[in-house]
Amino acid sequence: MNTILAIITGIGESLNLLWLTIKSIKYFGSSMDKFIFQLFDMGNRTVPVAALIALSIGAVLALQTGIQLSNYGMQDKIGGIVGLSVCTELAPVMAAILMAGRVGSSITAELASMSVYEEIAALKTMNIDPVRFLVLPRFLACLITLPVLVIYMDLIGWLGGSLVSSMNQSISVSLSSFYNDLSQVVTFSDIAAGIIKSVFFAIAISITSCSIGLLAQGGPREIGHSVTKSVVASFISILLLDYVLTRFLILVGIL
Amino acid sequence: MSDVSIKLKEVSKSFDGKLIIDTISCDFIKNKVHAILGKSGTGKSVLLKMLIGLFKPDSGKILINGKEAEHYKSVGDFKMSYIFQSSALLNSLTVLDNVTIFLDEHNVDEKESRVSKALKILNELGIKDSANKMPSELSGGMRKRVAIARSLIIEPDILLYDEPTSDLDPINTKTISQIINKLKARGDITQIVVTHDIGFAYSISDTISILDNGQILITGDPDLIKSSKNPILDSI
Ligand SMILES: Nc1ncnc2c1ncn2[C@@H]1O[C@H](COP(=O)(O)OP(=O)(O)OP(=O)(O)O)[C@@H](O)[C@H]1O
Ligand SMILES: [Mg+2]
Repeated sequence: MNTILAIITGIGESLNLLWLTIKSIKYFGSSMDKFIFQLFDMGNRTVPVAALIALSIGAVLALQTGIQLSNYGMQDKIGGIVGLSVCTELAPVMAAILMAGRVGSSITAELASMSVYEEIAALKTMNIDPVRFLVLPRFLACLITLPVLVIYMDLIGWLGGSLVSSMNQSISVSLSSFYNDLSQVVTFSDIAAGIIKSVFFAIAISITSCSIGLLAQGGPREIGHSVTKSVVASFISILLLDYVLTRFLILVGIL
Repeated sequence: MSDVSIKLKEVSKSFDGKLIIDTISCDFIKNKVHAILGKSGTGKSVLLKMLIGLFKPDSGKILINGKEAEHYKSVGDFKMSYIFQSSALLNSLTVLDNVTIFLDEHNVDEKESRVSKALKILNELGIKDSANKMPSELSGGMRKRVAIARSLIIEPDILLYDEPTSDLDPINTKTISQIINKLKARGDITQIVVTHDIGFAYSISDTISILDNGQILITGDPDLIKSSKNPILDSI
């Protein structure tokens, strides 16, 4: 019962923070330098690992489906299958999970420690709005980083899939026929669907991790608790949102 | 009336059903130094945080310069600043950036004049050499002085100190009391200092109030407090 109440309160607090953040977008000009700093920081934290993850999911996906397909002599369809799964589902979800784990957790840790050590209160006494000063640049940087990360992971995922397909003896689909099939199956709206998903994931991750960080109170132990809470909450919201958004995108005909 | 800087009218505050501040009424006179003495856990920090608006009183009124305000940090041109017990410097910013943050975020002056203003204050407080250090590289006494610098750059009319000498050695304590006395001599700033260090309170105050069990037991000048032989004084 208490847990349910805590979850509902948490969602309420996040929505409230989202609203305050959207209202503060008009002050974007004054937080430009903080936004750029966050952008680089988020890129540094995610880009190398994202390449590794994308390459391996593309490769494994090609290996598993490719061998199945070749049993029926349909291995020439592999480009489309790998291409589609990567850009509509795997890249956005894995990018979001990576973002929550590497960026969301560090946002929460930073903001929670600022709350616990009264830095946030100090900002308030100087009439500096924590939403404008801390949340807005992180929110916007996340909103840019995640979709870019998805496009980047799409490309690397496809590369991984095509390399395995061409090099594996039992699949042996050449690079050109892989990309030929991919370009026939994957449409612009499939790629757009993944990017649309990632925009919502970015909102969920940045707001959840900021909200939990800002609300931390108590001693230093609370910082660790907040980070765990924020990562779990982000993961759950990514998975729930993924289902809802997939349904929605099918409904409106994008998928 | 006009010489009252902050007026408390029957202010109460409780946490989790426990009454921490119990219907306190008092006046803080303009441009004087007021010390609030009390044991640990009597609600000194809570009282001070209500003055700056970090906590709202459950009942009663707080008038700043005769006006009641939602956010007390600034009422019109009347500015307040708060020096935290923990200094509360922003750990991700350099000392200089910590000091200029108010001016930066509120777009006061040009960047160069902000910096020169900050360096001047840091120089007066004897920590100009640390301007480019990070807060984590500083000692407790230096951090406290950076926090004071960060408050002074606002040019506050009221300056609130929460335990400015806790965790400080006697030399640093003396430095802080010199800073407070120097500001007092300027005669244009009301200073309210919460402390449990009696000697320190005597060395800076125009008036001293003793807070116990959520109430003010006695208020008066240092001589009056000394001669009152209040039993609380021995327990602080
Ligand atoms: N945010 C809060 N939530 C709940 N209780 C609080 C909160 N802040 C303070 N209290 C309670 O109020 C009481 C007074 O706390 P306060 O920090 O004002 O004491 P203090 O006089 O400043 O003590 P010290 O000299 O140790 O700093 C304590 O019992 C504390 O538990
Ligand atoms: Mg205190």
